[in-house]
Amino acid sequence: MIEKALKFAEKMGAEVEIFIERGKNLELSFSSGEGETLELSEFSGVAVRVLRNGFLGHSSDFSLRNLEKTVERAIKNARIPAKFEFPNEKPLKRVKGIFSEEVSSADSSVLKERMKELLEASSSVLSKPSYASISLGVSSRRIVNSNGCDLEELSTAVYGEVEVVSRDSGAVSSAFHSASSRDLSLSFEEIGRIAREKSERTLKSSGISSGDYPVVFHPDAFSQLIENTLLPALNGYSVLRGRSPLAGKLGEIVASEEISIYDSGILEGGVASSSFDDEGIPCGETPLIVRGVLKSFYHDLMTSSSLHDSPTGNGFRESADSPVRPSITNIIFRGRSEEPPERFLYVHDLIGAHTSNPVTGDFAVEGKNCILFESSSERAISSCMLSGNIYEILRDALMVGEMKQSHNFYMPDILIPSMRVIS
Amino acid sequence: MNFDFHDFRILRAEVTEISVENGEITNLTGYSRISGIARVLAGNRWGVYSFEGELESEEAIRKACELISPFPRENSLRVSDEVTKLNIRVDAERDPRDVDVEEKLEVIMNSEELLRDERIKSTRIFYSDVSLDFHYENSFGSDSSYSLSKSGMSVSCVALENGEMEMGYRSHFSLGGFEVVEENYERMAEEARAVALELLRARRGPKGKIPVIMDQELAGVFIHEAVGHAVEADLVIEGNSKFEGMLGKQVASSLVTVVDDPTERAYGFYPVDDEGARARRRVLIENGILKSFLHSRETSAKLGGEPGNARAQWNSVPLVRMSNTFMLPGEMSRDELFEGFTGVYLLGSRGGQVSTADGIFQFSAERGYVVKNGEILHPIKNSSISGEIIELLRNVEALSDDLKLNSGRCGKKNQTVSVSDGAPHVRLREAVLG
Repeated sequence: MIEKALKFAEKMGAEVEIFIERGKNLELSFSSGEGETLELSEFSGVAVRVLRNGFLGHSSDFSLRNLEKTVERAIKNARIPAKFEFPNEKPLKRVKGIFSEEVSSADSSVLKERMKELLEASSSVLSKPSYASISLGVSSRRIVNSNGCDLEELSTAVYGEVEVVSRDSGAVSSAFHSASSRDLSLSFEEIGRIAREKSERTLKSSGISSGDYPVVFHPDAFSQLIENTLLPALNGYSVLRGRSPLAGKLGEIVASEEISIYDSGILEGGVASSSFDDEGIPCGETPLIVRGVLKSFYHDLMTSSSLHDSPTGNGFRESADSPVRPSITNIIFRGRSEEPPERFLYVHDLIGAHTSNPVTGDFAVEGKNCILFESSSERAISSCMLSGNIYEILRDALMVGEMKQSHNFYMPDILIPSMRVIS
Repeated sequence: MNFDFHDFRILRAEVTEISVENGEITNLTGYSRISGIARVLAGNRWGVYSFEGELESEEAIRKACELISPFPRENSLRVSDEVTKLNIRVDAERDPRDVDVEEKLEVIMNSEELLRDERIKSTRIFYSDVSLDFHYENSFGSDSSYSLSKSGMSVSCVALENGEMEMGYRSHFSLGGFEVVEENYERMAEEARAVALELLRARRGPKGKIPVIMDQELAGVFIHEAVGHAVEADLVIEGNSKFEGMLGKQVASSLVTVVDDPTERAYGFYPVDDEGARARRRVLIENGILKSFLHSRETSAKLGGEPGNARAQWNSVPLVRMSNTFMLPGEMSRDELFEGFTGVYLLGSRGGQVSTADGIFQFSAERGYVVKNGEILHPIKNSSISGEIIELLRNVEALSDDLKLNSGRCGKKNQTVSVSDGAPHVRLREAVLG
């Protein structure tokens, strides 16, 4: 069927790329006071892109059933100016640790066991899990194009999340924690315990006076902040379309020289790792910011060709129905880590990070599960807003403590020596 | 295996999506999507099978049964047995499937033209229409089908001056066909351009506890975040809502009446929900008193109340969700609301989020103005409001008579659904601004 479609496209004078995704996800969710739900989702998608006379066209379907018609629709849609060609197959180093046979063959009894661990760890006299979900996924991607590329890769995904509510003498607090992995080494006990400890630690909270404070962000919080400000600005697509405040600043200092940030699609076992992107370009490691200096943007074929840069293997689709766009893989912070100061506000999570302004880098977000550390004492903070601009705070940012993982972010805590806190 | 309830839902959709950026087509796609889901309830355990493509209901239900059959039956969970049989077609004035792609592109390009200004350096128009055929059946005898279209467009632009960048954004999506876009594109483009240019001369706003007037869009997001999520009965049952145990109690200023109404012909419209329960208008807060939660079949059986607010993204498991949620207007004119007011006037929205258990929420305005003695002074930017739900609802001290709804997409447990929210202008005694 694929051969026939390639020939059909050739006859129509078009280069073609066929992307086929298949997979299944088994999920067990628990809801306090309600029942539990065991769900099997099976999904599939076929995306076709064609290049004809310098224009790109896209179409999709949920199966290969009418592949020639999907190619025909893509040719009809070929109205997007494009300066690239589909790649021939490049030498590829397969990334390790992204597929687990154990996950692939696991059944619902595995989910039941892990859910028990998660729920037990998140429960105490003060705390109860209100909602929890764990899932095991397996998926395959295949990319075939008329220039000889034919790549396929299998991967697995393991995910867990829990929301915990704690109550004591009329005081209420809550905390959410989630984690992901490629295999069953993920500790569900740890997910439950971290959520419970975060919630209980901030149960008896009080206010904070407005003012400037040293603020330390947990990776769960800082990753949300940069996902909505800095990382969109490093996206080649934002640069190409004139929406990045970092456009034209390659080689300039944009952050503290203590900070280096890399995008790595080839991190062994990384939750966003893959050997090649959705266009068949080998994934690699891209230095984005090195010792505070802006080194490169992340690209797909469209943005790299238009900006006369090299593709970085970051061309991915949200789904077969979506266009390819540059997307981050694993974000890794590197550099020297320091000890935290004696007095600082620790911010574990954020509310409203998605309301940040990706064009200016401005944000005004609510801190969640915050603790004020002073000398040897600590005090939970009930409510506080953190306001500023990502490029201003990055200038003085420092890394503190040990490396942690927050899904596809691999980084230590981040200290901003002085930041506006409003209450 | 014996089961207590089963249902089956299948959706067939035709979708067009077009993006134009800086005058260039960057996405043009049309696709069909068929997806479905079967659920089986035995004891307190749901088995769910979701799939893409065509599948008979019996086969899907069998697969859902297989998932839970290895496990012993435990306890029992009740679900509302309301039966709805309905078959309707909601016609659009201009069915998007009958509109040629060239005509859609012409409107988009016209909109893009209206954004132009020497300071506007980047433009983006996103157009989409979805024509949906929905079918639902369950073991109580419900059997409903409907077809409808939802269409709309978002417009954004970036202005650059003296090295400063600012963004203007407008979107409007609604029940209906191509007429939704035709009737709104000029206004949206003009407003988005004006916002981006005005923000270039805006200063950072004041921070701290300040009296605030919110426009209809921002107040709509406030109602969505502060009231809508906390009255979702699944969160109440989970012990995850500030409103647990507060039915019949005063939770807001007596000026506040909030309803959720999926029968309103807006972006959150549906004739039956994704559990086949009839859509109905529901008063959530009346004169400040908490009157009702939003329910699915499961939560209505547990807490009492009527189902009708279970919604899902495509073939996902339905969750308790809002539809069109809005605060009813007051009697003051807008001018009367501003009379003698000193504080901040905030407009537009960049979204919000709530932590329902402890009632803390945050939402961001697109822009604002400093106001002194009723006079609107200089523009401000980057203002967000945060606070505790009930405290802020009690701080509502005046409402104008100009209710307006805005469309949006609401996220919960990794699913997004189409909603609208709205309010009149709302004056708050004070709010924490960041």
